[in-house]
Amino acid sequence: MSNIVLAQAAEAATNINPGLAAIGYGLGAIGPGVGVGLIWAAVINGTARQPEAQGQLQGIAWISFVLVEVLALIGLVVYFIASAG
Amino acid sequence: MSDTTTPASENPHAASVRRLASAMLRTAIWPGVVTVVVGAVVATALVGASGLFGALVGGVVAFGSSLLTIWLMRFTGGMSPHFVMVAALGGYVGKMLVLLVVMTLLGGVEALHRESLAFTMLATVLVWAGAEVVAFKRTRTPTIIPEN
Repeated sequence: MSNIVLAQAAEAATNINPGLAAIGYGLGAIGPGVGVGLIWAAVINGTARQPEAQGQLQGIAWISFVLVEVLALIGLVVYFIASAG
Repeated sequence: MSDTTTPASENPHAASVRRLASAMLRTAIWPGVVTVVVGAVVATALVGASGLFGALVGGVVAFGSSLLTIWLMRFTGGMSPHFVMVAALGGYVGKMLVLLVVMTLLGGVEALHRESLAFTMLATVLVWAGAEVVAFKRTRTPTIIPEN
């Protein structure tokens, strides 16, 4: 009897990997989003205090933006691999 | 603080940001191409034609993502930091949404080898970011740029 129940459960089981991968990607995108916001908030602060340094602050901010964004792209690649059926 | 209506040619801050963007593009593009080629060769040797297609598509997606950041940098060079923040966050959200859709659609294509695409894209993005950091270290941006 239990074998029949187990067989029925196995048939009913579906692949939840794509859903879990999407949730993981969503969680992984939160951190870089916060990071990008903090970077530009710092640039706005810095430029308000010292407008002459705007060019250098923006340069630093863009390179930080690139590095933070790489984290989100790594999450995207992991999602892509993990979502395989 | 610079005015958003100031022409880019007259704005020294815009010029310094665009000079950095150009240096980043110049420094990163060839290492990126080499990475895609290496990824394509390795994937072809290990998997075959589907690996080659996967690696090339992965390289194209990585290039598109990285070039969009450079374009955003040039586009917002002369803007006030408030608008640059909006553009950067909007670019980040837009890029992540588009890439999510693109990668989900690519996952259903049988002719592309999944791991080849993923690892080539990852390697290209990492090499590109590393090259951009090198370009940033090499580019001398003056700390203080007088308004006039």
